[in-house]
Amino acid sequence: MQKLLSVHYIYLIPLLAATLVSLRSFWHNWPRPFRQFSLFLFVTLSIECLAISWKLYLHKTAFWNFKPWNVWIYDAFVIIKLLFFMWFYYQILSSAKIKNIIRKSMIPVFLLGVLEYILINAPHDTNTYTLVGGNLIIVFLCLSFFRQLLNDVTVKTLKNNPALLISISTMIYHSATTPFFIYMNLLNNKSPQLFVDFFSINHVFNIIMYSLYLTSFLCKPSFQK
Amino acid sequence: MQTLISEINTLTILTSTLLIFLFACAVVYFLFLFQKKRYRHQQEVLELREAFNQTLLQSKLEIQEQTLDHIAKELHANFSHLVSLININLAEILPQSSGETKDSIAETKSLAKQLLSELKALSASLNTDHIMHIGFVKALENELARLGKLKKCEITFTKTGQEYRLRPEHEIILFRLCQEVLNNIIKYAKAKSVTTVINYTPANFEVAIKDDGVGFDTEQADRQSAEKESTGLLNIKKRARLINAEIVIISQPDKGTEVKIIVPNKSAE
Repeated sequence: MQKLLSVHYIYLIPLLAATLVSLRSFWHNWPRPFRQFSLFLFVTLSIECLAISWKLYLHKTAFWNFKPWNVWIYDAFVIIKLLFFMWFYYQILSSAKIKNIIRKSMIPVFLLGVLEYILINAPHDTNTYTLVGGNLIIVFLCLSFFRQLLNDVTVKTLKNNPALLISISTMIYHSATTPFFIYMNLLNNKSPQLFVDFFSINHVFNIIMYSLYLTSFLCKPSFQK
Repeated sequence: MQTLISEINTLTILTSTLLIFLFACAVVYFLFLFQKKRYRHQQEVLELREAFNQTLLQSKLEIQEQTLDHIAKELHANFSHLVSLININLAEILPQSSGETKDSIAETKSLAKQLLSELKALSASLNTDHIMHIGFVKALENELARLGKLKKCEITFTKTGQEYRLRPEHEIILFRLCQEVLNNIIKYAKAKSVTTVINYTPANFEVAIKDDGVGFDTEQADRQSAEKESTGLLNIKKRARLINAEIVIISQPDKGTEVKIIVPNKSAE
């Protein structure tokens, strides 16, 4: 229990709060993409819990004895996360061109992710290509959503638009953490201490992102009946 | 050498993270700024359009009032004068005639007299200055009395509350609005009775005109007014908006119609 009180797990608080508050989308019958996003937050929280539990307790039980690396869990989740964001933006974007790109690239992205996961990197290494490539794809989708908002004929009130806050937080996290993720494996192998220090950047942006997710599900959107 | 690499890496990561973070924040800032400008621009366009529509409607009503005023004065000065002359001539002929002719002339004289009083009443109901002078309530009473004389339906009129007057230009618009409602009743409702209630409250001036006629489906009427470009209901609502009045139309087929006009009392504010 003592181990769980580490400052590195503070981001779990906004994540938990965002997951719980996102249940509003089911009660108030928000459009499907937001309900799916709520499920995604639930899956994210479960994965985080599993990864932390693995690192702290589950790697060594009466039945097995593995190393405490939990990167393989995060690596698998990165593929799921990327595919989810592609699906999410496929639903909320209206541009037929971008929808077409998303539709056509989903299977190759999945196959490349699985390929890197199984063949390219070792289990204790981060799937940097999927992670960085995924980040760039997600940032592109967020920017496409902003472009859609700006080109929209009707001017929408931004504060009543949960997709906007979701996109802002997603873009900030996935763009700002990219430099760190590029160097992730290098740092992990050459300077583990520096790697741990730099992981704080990731935590800070995680806290920002989940707090904004929480805010997005707290607002009263224009589509709410 | 190892330390140098670490330092370079650290610097690279920190700088690029900071730069990208700032860039992301700038993107978000410009998004909000641009959207805010667009929103403000759209609001301005809406306000301008609304103001233009108001001015247009006001001009239309002013032209209408001028036309009605002109007709009223013509009716009073010219037509009434002619009918009066007819009446005088008939009065001169009457003693010289005998038998059936005398009866016919007497009947014609009586009809001319009736026509004269009708013309006067009509002229009064059309004359803006006259309505402003006698006030909305008296003008509405006269209008109801005029309709009562048609003997198409039974007219009831009641007033409740402490009386006060609205702004004269509002009274004119309100009176024209009530005239439109009453004309609709006479033309379409086939009503046997029309009840008009005026209620003075400190906050609002309320007029309710209720009939027991054929009624109509309000939603369907709204739809049809757009499809058939019928402007009756639309005009009533526009006139009401011009004096900040709330208009409530309650009607169902075969269950009559009630039109409530609620005008906020400015002096109470």
